[in-house]
Amino acid sequence: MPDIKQELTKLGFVPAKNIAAVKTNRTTIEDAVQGIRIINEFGEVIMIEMTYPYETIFGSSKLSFPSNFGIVRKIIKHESITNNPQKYIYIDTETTGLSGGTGTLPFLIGYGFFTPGGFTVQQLLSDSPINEITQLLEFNKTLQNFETTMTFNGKSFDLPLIKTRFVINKIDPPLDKLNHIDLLHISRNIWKMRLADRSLRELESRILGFSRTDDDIPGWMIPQVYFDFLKTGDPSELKGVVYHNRIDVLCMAVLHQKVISMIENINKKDENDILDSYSIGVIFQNRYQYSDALCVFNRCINASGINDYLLVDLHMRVAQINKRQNNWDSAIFHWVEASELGSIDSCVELAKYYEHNLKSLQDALFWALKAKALLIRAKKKVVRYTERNDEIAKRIERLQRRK
Amino acid sequence: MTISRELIKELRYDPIFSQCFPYWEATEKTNGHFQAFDPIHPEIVSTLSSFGVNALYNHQFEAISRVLQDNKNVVVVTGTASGKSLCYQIPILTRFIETGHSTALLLFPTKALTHDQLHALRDFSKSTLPGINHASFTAVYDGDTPSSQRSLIRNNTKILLTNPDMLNIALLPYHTGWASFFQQLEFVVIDELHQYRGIFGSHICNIVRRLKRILDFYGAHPQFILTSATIGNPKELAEWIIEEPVSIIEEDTSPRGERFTSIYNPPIVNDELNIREGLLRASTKLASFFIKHDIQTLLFCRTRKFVELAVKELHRNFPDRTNLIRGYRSGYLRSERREIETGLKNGSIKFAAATNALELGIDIGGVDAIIVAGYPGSIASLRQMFGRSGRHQTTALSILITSMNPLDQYFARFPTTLFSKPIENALIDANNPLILLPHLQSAAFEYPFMEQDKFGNLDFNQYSMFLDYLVDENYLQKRKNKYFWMSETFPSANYSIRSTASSNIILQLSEYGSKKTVGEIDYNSALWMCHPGAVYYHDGNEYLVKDVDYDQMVASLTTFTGTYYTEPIKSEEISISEIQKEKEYEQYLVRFGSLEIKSQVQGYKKIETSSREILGTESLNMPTTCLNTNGFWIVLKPSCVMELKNDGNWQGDVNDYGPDWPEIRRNIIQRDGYCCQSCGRKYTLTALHVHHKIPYKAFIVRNQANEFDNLITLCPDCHRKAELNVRIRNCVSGLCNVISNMAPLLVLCDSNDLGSYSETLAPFENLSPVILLHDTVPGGIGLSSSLFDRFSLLIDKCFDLVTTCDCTSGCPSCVGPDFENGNGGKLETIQLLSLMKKDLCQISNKN
Repeated sequence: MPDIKQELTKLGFVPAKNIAAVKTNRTTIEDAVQGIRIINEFGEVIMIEMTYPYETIFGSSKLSFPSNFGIVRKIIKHESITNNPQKYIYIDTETTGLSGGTGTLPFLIGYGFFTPGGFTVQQLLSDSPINEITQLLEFNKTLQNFETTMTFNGKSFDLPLIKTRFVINKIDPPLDKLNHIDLLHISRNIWKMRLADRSLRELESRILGFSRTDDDIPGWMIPQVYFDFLKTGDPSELKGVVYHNRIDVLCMAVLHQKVISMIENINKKDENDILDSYSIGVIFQNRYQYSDALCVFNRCINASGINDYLLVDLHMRVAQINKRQNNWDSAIFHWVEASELGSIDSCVELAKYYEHNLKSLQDALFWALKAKALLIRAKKKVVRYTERNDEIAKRIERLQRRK
Repeated sequence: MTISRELIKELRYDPIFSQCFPYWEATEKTNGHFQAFDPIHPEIVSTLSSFGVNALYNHQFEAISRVLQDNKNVVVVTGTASGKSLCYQIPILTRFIETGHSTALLLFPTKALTHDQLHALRDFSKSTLPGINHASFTAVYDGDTPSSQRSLIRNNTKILLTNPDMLNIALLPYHTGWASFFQQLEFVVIDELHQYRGIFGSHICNIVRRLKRILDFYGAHPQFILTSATIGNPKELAEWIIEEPVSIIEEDTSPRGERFTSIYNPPIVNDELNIREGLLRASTKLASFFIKHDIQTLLFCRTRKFVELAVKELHRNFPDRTNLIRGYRSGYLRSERREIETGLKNGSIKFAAATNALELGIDIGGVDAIIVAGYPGSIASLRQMFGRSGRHQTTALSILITSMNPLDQYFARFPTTLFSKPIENALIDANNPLILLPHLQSAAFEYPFMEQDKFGNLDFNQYSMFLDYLVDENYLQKRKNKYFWMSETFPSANYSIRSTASSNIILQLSEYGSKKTVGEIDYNSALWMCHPGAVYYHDGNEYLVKDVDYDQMVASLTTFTGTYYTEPIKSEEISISEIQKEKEYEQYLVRFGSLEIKSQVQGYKKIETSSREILGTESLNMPTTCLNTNGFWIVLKPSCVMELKNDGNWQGDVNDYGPDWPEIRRNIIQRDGYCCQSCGRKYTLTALHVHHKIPYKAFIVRNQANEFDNLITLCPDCHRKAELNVRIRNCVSGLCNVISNMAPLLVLCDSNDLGSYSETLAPFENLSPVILLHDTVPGGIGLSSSLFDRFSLLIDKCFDLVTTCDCTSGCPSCVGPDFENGNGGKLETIQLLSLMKKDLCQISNKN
């Protein structure tokens, strides 16, 4: 048999770096990760289980007995969201790479769910790619008990990946039958004003106040840890991967509860950071929850520590909602407030209202001219300056003509 | 105005041009052969009728029957505009009507072609299947497809148009997203098969192997329908690419209008050096004739510079028609190019000079006359360019202007080669390790390998060593009898399907203060093609290499406006790794095998493009490279060498060495003590000769030839021996020059795909004279192997070229210029070729 390595080097092929291998294997993997080995006719999988009782502290939050899950309907587009917390399953995977595709293996599938006694996290660890089917079958069995999956960025990564594994192993993919909520999307919408990074780790640390112990392994190291294990058979480093995954799952549950509590307490003074409340108000508005939105916005307007830009935005939003509901007096009030803070759009809205609703050209022109003045004053800081300038000029010209 | 016989006559006998058209061919109008629709599905028939198609050409009908009735794989090799698309559109739609859910995958090499076909298919399917949602029924899936549409396409599309890159990087590695599409796959269409040759073709074969693996997983076994331009071996290439039997349809039964085809060989402007008028001059002369006669003409040029110069010249000649005379090349704004395309189509633009940026698939209708400036590298391309002439069966005219290159001149003298069945073969080597290995990685990513699996036609034990290598290098893990991908990397993104897996140097152009990457070249080729000071031709442009940073792997280029080209001066050391094939003849041997070529570029020559004059030489300090590849070589046996030396036809060169020669001669003999410097014997003044070490004719400045260092005293015998050695050197390098120039006639390749070498005393063949040709791709790509197999044909063509050349003792169009380092051995080369031809009749094969 020709020496391929030598031949390839002669042809100019650049091989990959070699990793230093050789460790001795003392413990079994079950012991290393504190799990049990499940065996069926197709293969084996390691299952690890841990239950966190209610009231367990998680940073500056805690894991509470779950309630009021239905309230999330106010901020997400989901008709059939269930109220029953015990029908929710929180899923996170650890994989051999980030590219997705058929060559990426979710060697560890972690999932958590609420029971009467607490929040249970189960983890299915595949100790060899040849055993993958057992992992998938066990997971499939479990999924039958749930209606809604919760993930963090699972929509674009974990769930398609799990589906791929089912297809490759020629098993009917189960996840299409369940509803799905992605906490990443919710988190983005709530915290994008306040946090630059909305990764699960960042939220865990900044919002929930949790710090991981030294048992944790950073995410980027995980694939290599698994490859090393496959090559050497030494499972000692896998403990860190299991811990990492378990905390990810638990964190999702706590985060979910945090979001629920924020919505529940949206109008309680000082309960939430004002920017978070504002963001939730915006989500309410986008989800047509107008009365909730108005409550939030009005409270924000009266709160301290708001900068002018945000204040203008709040007035405009309130005005917009009122306009929709034909509450003109309210709308006008807020537009005027906004105009006093320098808002050009509010002047335009007022001009429109006076021209079309009240047919008072004099007032309309007043506001149109005010808009123009504000625009000129703010010239450099305004987006789409030329477009808006043209628009206002047309309006003024038309009003003057009609007079 | 259209082409008429009177116009042709005027062109042929115009004093500017006459004597320069060695070839004219007129083909009459044909009506085509049609077949009634009979077994074709009625809904399809009515759609075709609504498009004005009331019958199929015989070849279309034949192709469709073989696909639908005989369930064969088919390759259609009829000419341009022969309706090849219907050969796959009809089977695809027929099958869908029958099953209600069958799918088809169509591969195109360019975007223009893909979108062209999309419109055609949409129109066809809209009319045939009115109930279907057509936005998603047929769709293009490529790099430009917005992500919002991708999921819709994956779930709904039945006819998918894409390209090989997308297949490599998106469809195959994420195939579970296409599960239902693949499960119902009935047809795979591969368009423009002839483009899948060389390295690119080898990659495509492996992509097809991977595709079939995945299809096997989903239980699908589609039929393949391929289309190709006319090359020497379309059926063979198709069978190599898909690794299944293919049925070929070659006879074009579509109607043709009247055509005139011609070759214009520019006149000789320098008798002594046998130099011809340049392509630019010739092109503009011809173009002016057509513009004057209001004939819509398209001129195909090799470089962007040529386009600019031609247009400039014609604008000068026709100052009142500048908006009707346009150039077309990449680098123009898209809107400009659209404008010219439309102008050509509606006739408002009378003349365009274009590079191959004007690809097939871009609809310009047809023009009246096509001029191709210089042989474009393959007969297939030439025919595709010629195919652009003729509108709705009006008379069409195509002219090839031949350059001074030996192959061009061969066509000028043997024009029927261009129009009969071509002998240029497309070659691939799908099992070249540098190409196979990356695809095995991708395949392992896509689905684990199991022991005893086949990969295409390869048995497991033919590629298992690569899998074990990948396990050692920590890309794969082996468990029981399966190999699993276990790496974070995404393999399919780590290589290009147009080059081999070796390190590449980035070509960076500095223009207007900014840097732009214009391409890549592998390290080994870069050393001799892209050395500092080289004039480098890439993708239609000429660049000057200012500097190369071998650590950063970047070459800095600037645009080049000079009139010379460069040729590297290499020293090469060749050793044979393994002789794989051999043919033995009475006077010589031909061998094929794997070689190790150590070379170093030591300098380069600057050569004036039009006169081929050597303007100067520069020296360089470059690293040595080692290339392991395949090649074939000719070894002359001692008996051959004897016969060449003893041939009485050879007289010594009777040169005029200048008026001072008698005195110089006396001085040298005196300096050397009246002794022959070779054998040491003493002679009288009159008996001795004075020999030029570097031949007199090699010097541009003749006086330098007579400098003392270059002259040496020899007795007549030793002088004769020295001269004869020069003769051997002449014929060996002359033959090498001819063979390397004629090789593209037999194998489709670019000029850089083959390297040549010749040596009178080759160290690796016991100091015998050797002429060698090798692949420049590491590991070989099938070129020299094919040339070895068709050696006899190659020698015939070389013989034909040299014996019909009008020059006296050598020129750039046959063995090489007369004065170059003692080349100009035309007579000697003919002698050698005759010997070789004679022996070919008495074959003794040893494989």
